[in-house]
Amino acid sequence: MEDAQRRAEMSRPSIHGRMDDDEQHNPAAVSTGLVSTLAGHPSQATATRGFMSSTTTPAKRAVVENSDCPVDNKRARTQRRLSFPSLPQDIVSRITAALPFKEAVRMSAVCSKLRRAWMYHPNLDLGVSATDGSVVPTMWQEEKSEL
Amino acid sequence: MAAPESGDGNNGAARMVTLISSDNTRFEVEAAAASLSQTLQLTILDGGGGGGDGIPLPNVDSATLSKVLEYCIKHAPAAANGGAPNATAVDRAELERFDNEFVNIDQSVLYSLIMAAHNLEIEGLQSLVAKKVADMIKGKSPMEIRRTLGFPDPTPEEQAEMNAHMLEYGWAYE
Repeated sequence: MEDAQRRAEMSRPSIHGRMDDDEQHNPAAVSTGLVSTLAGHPSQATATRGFMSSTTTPAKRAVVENSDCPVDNKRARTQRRLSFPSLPQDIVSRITAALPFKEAVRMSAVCSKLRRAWMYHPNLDLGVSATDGSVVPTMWQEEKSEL
Repeated sequence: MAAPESGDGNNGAARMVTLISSDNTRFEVEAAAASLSQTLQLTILDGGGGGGDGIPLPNVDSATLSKVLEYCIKHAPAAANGGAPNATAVDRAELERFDNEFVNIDQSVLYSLIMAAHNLEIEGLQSLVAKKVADMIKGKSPMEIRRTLGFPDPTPEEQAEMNAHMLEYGWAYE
């Protein structure tokens, strides 16, 4: 069950770029989740989870679930400890863009959220010796069919 | 990135603006420094932020904002020169040294900084932090990247996906 839950968190589109305004509801969930974690009062969620998730997951999940709510979220994020997985897509793309191309592709193996991040790489430098030219079109097809 | 050219020299000595963080701390800085933010530059050119008003920044807390402003103040003179042409090698080296030290901080602070730089559209700061995070990733295997960036340990499914990726894109791992 925990696996399934964590899995759901990872695959949730939590890092899409600018957030829409329309889901402003439920900011309370964000703050209560964050506050209870921070103050060390384990909520029900934390109590049932392993040590790993008890430090990061409840807060992250609260943020992720409300990622369509710009103001509360950004505020919550900037005031609390931020983690890489909670960054929006624009920023992740900026970071991968600062990597050499091969490294950016390698990073896409890290998790499904990052799978497409390298495609915004500004420097599709295919001059790397190991590429055979067919690589990129193939990847594109595959990614497109996923969408 | 360029500071408002006309505003700089003509408005006399150092016009100041006030910025208000999400936790209601007021920061008074030179307009030229705040103008490294494209977002703030527009407001400032419109005459905002002066006097007792202040520009509220509900997305940036005071700890992050003071860090952001430290960067802006340091970089404002070079930006006012329209980048680097007039800067001496010494100035540039000094800025570089400052930058390196500036991003030598906790990961979560880096992320707060890049979020703020993104919201405020401070191009140089965004690049600086992005490059720093990229440097932390460079040369690492996917598993090491996960650990470095604070992802939880992969589920068996994720592990399988990672292995498949490594097989499929083997050329990226050479």
